[in-house]
Amino acid sequence: MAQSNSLKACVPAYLKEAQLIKQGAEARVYRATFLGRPVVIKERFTKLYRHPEVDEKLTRRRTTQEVRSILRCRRAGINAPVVYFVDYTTHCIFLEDIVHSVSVRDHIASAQTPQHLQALVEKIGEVLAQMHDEDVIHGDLTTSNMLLVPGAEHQHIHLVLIDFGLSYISALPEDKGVDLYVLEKAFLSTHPKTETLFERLLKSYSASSKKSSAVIKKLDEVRLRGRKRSMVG
Amino acid sequence: MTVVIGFEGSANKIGVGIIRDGEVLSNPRRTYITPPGQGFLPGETAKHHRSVILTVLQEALDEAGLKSADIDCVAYTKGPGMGAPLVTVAVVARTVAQLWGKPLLGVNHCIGHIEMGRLITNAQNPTVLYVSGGNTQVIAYSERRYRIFGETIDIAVGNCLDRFARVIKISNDPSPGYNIEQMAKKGTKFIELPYTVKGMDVSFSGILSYIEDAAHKMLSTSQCTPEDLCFSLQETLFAMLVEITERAMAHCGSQEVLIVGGVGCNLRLQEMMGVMCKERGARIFATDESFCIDNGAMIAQAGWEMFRSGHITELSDSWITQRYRTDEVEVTWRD
Amino acid sequence: MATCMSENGSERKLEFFLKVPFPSEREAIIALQSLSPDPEPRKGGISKHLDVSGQTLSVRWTADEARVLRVSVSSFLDHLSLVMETMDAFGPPVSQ
Repeated sequence: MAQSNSLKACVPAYLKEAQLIKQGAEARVYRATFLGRPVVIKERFTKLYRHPEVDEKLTRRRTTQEVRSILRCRRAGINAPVVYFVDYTTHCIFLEDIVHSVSVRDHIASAQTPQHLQALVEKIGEVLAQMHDEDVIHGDLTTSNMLLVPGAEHQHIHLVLIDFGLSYISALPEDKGVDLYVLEKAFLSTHPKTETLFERLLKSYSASSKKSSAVIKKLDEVRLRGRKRSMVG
Repeated sequence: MTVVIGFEGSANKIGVGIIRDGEVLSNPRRTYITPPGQGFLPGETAKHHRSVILTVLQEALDEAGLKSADIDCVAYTKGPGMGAPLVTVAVVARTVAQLWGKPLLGVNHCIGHIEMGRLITNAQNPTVLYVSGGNTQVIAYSERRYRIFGETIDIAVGNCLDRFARVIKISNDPSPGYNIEQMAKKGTKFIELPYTVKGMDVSFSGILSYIEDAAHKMLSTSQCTPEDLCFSLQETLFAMLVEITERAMAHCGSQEVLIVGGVGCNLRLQEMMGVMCKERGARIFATDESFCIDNGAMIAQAGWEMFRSGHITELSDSWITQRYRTDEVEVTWRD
Repeated sequence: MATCMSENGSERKLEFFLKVPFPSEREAIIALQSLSPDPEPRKGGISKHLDVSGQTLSVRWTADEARVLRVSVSSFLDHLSLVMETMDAFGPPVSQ
């Protein structure tokens, strides 16, 4: 009882009124209002399974990186939620709530045919190329971490990147190649039989960045490493 | 009733197990143990397996109290694994299948681990963390495949542990991982090591080269003890594994975790995974060393499922393969 | 058993022959089917051909390099003796 009281005392006042919407791999995500605006609060709470030193280091680094990469993307014109406020003591980030959005994952799952998705994956390739040209490595590219905002005009696809906790800055083609490799695996395992769709995404990526050929070469290398890896035991 | 005998020998264990409709009738096993500082090589391992496989087979039949006529299907590991040991085991499986006039069935080793874990723990549709000397994968089932959501982009976690054990000459008896686990319990000082998670993927080669370089320096200058290194390595590696498992669970909306593979019997890993599960209201399933570590019954169990859904392997198609991805197999025995 | 160098067109190839008698044709065929599924590695220009005639299993190798030939023959003999031991311990074959 005493313990649960002391736990409650640690919870920032703003989270008490916030509505928990999901628990991701490293943060709880809440919906609330902040200065009259709808916000999403991302709270990186202490993960008790890991050593306190590991936890402290990761939590601090990821909160900082998330904010930094979002700002860098937004400055380059890549859609990512506005950062309203950061509480570094409780590791909470207050982000713009992308209202009425659906995750690309849910959108793909509900699409009738892959043909409907071609324009979308081309847009994804284009946005990722733009992000990599800014030397932002997302670190956790999945279709769950991309939001789609239904727009009035059908031609214009409004894509928003989220969840930059594992991101970092690097100009190395290797890091960008691994970023795409991570997406490829997540994409194909989440959405079976979409190989041609993903190829289209990569084609659009290649066409959208001058630096893409070195990245695609690295992507091929990383894939080959996976296939060549011995699997003893 | 369906009785399947399973042969496993893709790495340094050789095992023969018999399963009758979900019941493990026997599961004897031998391990090829190398001196401290040495790993197991394909040729030597195959030689070990050749020298004991027929004894282990006889034990499996005797313990189960069965005769060859009672067997319905002979399952063996088709891959992945080391070539020479795989061939050795396949040769015996092919021979007995013909001698006894029974159908042969090649099984994916990874699928064997998953199906055995499901049988023993009764987990329904878990996110699977498969961790061993050769594999590190986070797997979930969908649309007739065990799909790989995350995996190592370089070496396997067990390989990282084994190679660290060789660096500081930890005994391979009963296994390097077990000895690291015992030593880690006495570690007190946490040494910071590289932590590399990429979405649902992990990388261990950076940690290994860091610790290979630093270990002797730190030990000779008494900055830390071997126990501290074991402790710090486990804490770091396992935190990474729990993190990618949790990320896959969040991504797939899963509320069950099953840990399989040789590293999966590490109690510290199970404990950390348990804490994570508790935090998100999920359930953890794990097995002890008799089923986590490579064994014959796991091949028999996957074989049982496959055989019942109509699979057999023609002799001419019974070649072994060193690389055989978990998601290559069409899962015809689940909805 | 014999090993020899034979003129094979313009290229000189190493060859190795092996004949193994079994108690019956059935057992010779079982050995053939247990030992033939795994292909030789593509490197080293080696090929291996197995055949059964009556109670005899015959094997013929051709290779570019003696080293590669020796490895293949030696591993084959290991597997062959394992098949024979298995037959001794778990045979004879059931009647068909």
